[in-house]
Amino acid sequence: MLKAFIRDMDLGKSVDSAGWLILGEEDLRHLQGMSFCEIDRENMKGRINPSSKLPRDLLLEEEGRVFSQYAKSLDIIREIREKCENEEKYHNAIVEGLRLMFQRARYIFWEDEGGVVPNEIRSLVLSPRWVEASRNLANLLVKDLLLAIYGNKGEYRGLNAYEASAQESYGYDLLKVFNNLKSQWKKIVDYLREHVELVEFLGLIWFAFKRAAESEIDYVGTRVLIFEEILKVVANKRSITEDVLRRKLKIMGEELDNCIEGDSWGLRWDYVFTIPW
Amino acid sequence: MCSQYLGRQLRQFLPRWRWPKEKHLREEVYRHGEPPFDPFPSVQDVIDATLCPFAIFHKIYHGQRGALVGLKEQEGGIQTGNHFHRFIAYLKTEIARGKADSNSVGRLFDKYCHREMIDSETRRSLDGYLRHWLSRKKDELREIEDQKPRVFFEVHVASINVRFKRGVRFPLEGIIDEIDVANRRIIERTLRGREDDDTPPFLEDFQLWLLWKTISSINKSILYKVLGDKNLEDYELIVETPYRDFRVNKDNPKFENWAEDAFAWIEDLTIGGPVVISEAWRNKGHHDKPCTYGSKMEECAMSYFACYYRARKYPTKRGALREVLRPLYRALFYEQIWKHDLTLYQLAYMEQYDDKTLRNELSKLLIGRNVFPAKVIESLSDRELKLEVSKDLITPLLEVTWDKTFNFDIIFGSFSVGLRRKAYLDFDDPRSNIKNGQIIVRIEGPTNIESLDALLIESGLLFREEPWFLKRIIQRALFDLERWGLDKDDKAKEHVTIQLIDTLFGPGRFRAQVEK
Repeated sequence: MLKAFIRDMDLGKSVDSAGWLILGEEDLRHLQGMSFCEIDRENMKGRINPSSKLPRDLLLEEEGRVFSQYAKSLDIIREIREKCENEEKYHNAIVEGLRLMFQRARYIFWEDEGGVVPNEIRSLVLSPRWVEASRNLANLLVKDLLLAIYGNKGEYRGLNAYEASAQESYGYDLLKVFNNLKSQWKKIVDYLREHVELVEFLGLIWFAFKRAAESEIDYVGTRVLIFEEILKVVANKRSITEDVLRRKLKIMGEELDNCIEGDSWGLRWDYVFTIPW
Repeated sequence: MCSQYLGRQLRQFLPRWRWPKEKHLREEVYRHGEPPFDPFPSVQDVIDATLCPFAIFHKIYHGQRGALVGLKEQEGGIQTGNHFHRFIAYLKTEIARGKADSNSVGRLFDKYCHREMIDSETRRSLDGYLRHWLSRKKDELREIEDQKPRVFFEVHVASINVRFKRGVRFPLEGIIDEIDVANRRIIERTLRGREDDDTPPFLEDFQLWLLWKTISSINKSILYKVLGDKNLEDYELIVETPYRDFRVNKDNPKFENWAEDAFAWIEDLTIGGPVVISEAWRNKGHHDKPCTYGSKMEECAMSYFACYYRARKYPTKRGALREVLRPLYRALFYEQIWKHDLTLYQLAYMEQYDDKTLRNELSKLLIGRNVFPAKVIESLSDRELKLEVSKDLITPLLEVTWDKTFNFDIIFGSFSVGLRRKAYLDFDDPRSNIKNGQIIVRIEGPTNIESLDALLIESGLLFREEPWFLKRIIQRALFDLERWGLDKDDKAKEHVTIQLIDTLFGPGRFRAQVEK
């Protein structure tokens, strides 16, 4: 029964229709006494209830572990759907996710011929201080992006809390980096302002994958499920089709590159705006 | 919550393949980041992508070897299959050269086993397969007695002009088991399959068809120079198991679709990120054979250890570890494309591209670095020969062999079509005369070197690549680490690596203890 549920979920069936098996009268009677099973007597079917807690001995089995990972990922999806109902919670989740994305990003500079990257950036990037500086750069970028897209709206508690934490001094070197990148960054922000669905997807998917890591969710099928559900949530919220969003995500890296076409140096923005896996 | 599963869908076919530009081929562009061109796929890659899109994902990102396996190969080892094929190559060549007749199979088998130092178990297993094969092939062996050999074994083919019905051009390379020019047929030999099978082993017919598409797309003058025949379009295609020969229908419309679908997956997975990976998961399995939890596709090695492996309880922070490893997998894949695939493109363009200027430029770039044209001047035994390399290439050749491994591939014929073997150059052999460019070379695999003249092959290429495969080994090692772990609580608490991973990627603390 566990296998049937996992198989159906892997194949993309809905949670309501996954895992049902046609059973005989005796089996159904047997299942009736088990709190973690549910039966559909009318259609003579039974399955393990994905919302119930499995007995300990079943959890020790490989199928039990994968099943419980599916159950946990369904909890995460439920949490995100609930957040979706509340603008404030929705935006807070996006802010948290984006912050994580910017923190985990690899800030890699490129130049089309040697020596084009300004010296102050080169020396900072090559120095040990870059580890700390890149963390601060992440803070600076996420704040700027959120303000550009959502404005300085007081009702976003996440944003305000975030602003408070961003009050710390960025340091003179970092401001120089940011100033040098400003014109390029503006083009990136302009592009994303036109495609808010991408920003929201990135925020939510990073938020969801953080939750998944905390819940020790590992199985590929569960990660695919979370990914597809976030896609659905954002597409629905922005009134576009999933296919359109999928297509936009596929070409996002290339489009970000196109934004800065003609520049002779810059950041690899496609290494910053990444989708976790 | 999710849309209804419809089975594996055909991928949207590619409008065009992303070829390297001339500046990439000429190496005028600094190699960094994501390559702006697609990999140069092997037939094995296309087979694996056809077998399952998630299998080719594992191959690309986790450095896994071929996914398609047969039950017998899993049991008996791939080595048995290699020996089966190599012994037949040896047997046919010896008979055709008049050194043996069809009644001396036992003697040749003893000699082969002794020379290859085959253990008794493999020998027993080989013997069983050969009995079946010989019971069907006696007449065929008698027919080739004393004829000059016109059969080529393990022929490497590479083309940049493979086209399917839609006309889009693709690159493809692979190894053909046997080309029988006398009987105008191409053979794919395998140990897979059972005695009572009435269809060829799974995907072997498709593999042979792809190889045939590759060789028939190569320039006719190149083919004629090496094989002495240029019209391979009408060759018969035979999948040969120990028990039966299967003739392959070249006009199977499924093959066209499968090939285009596989190329689309290869490109999409090369460029695309998690969006494509999740699509690959949803399309798991073969077009006609699903692969699901609890009902894995038995022909796919990946399903056992890469897709549905048993996850260990510790380390608990495996997810965070994977997040760190993910960009490394991709970076290592890009390095392989820049190193290995670009070299394949350069060599194929050097021989097949229309523009003569570019061809000459590529020759200048590659000769003396990756390839060294050589001529066979004397066959010394069935494993040894004397090669002559142009005197002005001796210094660069010595330079690239400074690490003393002297391990090259030798291609008799051309890169596009030729017999590709492992070769060991022995500069220290007293018969080598370095000043005159003469080197003793020892060859691995079915050689036929004593009859190279008969096969019209006099010249060839010594070919050496940078060790790009090390990147795949690193990918595999990282993936092993990702899947590795322990289940027992007490052992995990004591295990340094587990504790280290959980500390690095989690909130825990880990302190070294000073031994008293």
